[in-house]
Amino acid sequence: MMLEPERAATLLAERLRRPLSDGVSRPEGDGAAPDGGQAEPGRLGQRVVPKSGRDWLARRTLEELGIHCEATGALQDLKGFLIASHRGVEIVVSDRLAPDERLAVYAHLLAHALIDEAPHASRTFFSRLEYVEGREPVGRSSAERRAEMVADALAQAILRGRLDGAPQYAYRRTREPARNAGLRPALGRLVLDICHRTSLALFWHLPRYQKLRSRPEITFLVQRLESLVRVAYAC
Amino acid sequence: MADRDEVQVARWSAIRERVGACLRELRVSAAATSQARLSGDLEDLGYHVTQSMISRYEQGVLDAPLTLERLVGWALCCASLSAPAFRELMELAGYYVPWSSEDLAHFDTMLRRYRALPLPDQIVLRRKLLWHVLGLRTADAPEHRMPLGSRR
Ligand SMILES: [Zn+2]
Repeated sequence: MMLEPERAATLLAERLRRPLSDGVSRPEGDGAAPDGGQAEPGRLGQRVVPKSGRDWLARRTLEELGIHCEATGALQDLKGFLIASHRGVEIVVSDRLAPDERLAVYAHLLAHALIDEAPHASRTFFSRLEYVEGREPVGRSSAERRAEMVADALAQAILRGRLDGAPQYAYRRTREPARNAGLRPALGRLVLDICHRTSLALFWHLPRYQKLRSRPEITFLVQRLESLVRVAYAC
Repeated sequence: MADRDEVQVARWSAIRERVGACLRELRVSAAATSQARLSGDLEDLGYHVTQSMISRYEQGVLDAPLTLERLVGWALCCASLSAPAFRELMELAGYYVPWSSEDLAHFDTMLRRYRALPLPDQIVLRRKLLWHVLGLRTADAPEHRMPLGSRR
């Protein structure tokens, strides 16, 4: 399947954190926002894309990755949907949505692709529909409701430009290869694996943990702990 | 007439009655779709298939082979379509659908959700689905002229 949700989510989060990073130029240059508005000056003097331009930035980023994005006025119950197959990946959103709502739909759809249980290698077809609030199908299972909640939390992490505000296993499918051989590094990797799995399980079941995990100081703490384990176990 | 066309027509003659019956079954079972509605929906997908053609295809009396695109479009326009029914139809028409069990289950869920949507949403989704479904093939399969892959 052509969709690489991990890569797309990581790049999108990075771009949203640093909207004017290299390789992204404005459509009209000269500080003009895509909607015709004026770019806002940033804290350090650099220009940042105004809030209304963030959905353009997201769309542009997704299209760079080969994800075709389209807006239509015909959707009623759907905010948007994603279809991925060998023919490519496309996201269709309702043009009735405000720019920040469109941005949230892009992030949310990517989040669903990230948390999809099936191994992507065995997939030739993937789709996801996003509903307008109150128009969701009735009788959703608890698993589906939980997946919605997790996708929301992950989408928030993307929108904040801080994917590391979510458990690593929620957005990273590829595991790092072992750097060192031996019993001690293997034990260290096992400890880290257990920690990541526990964090992911908590993230799936506890909204309070999702909130806590998204705080920058917790992210910092988690990263420090991981570094310590890596040093201690030489892994 | 070119040899290839003759082969195609001969192949179609051999299967048209069974395919027609299957298409009719798809159209009339569960929430039946009228011929007029189906004709309009196919037109919307860009395929000109009149009501009388629909009727003759269903009876298996039309000589002109139903193309893969129209076949898939027809199936997607029927309210009773399910993933197993789709695969059955395609196999009947001589096409191999290389779906994993995950794909099949996912497509089935997708179809249920799609049918529960209001018509305008269904139309947008159907157009996109048609494009993607026609492109399904195994990753390592050679490029087919018809993406679902003709089975010998
Ligand atoms: Zn969702």
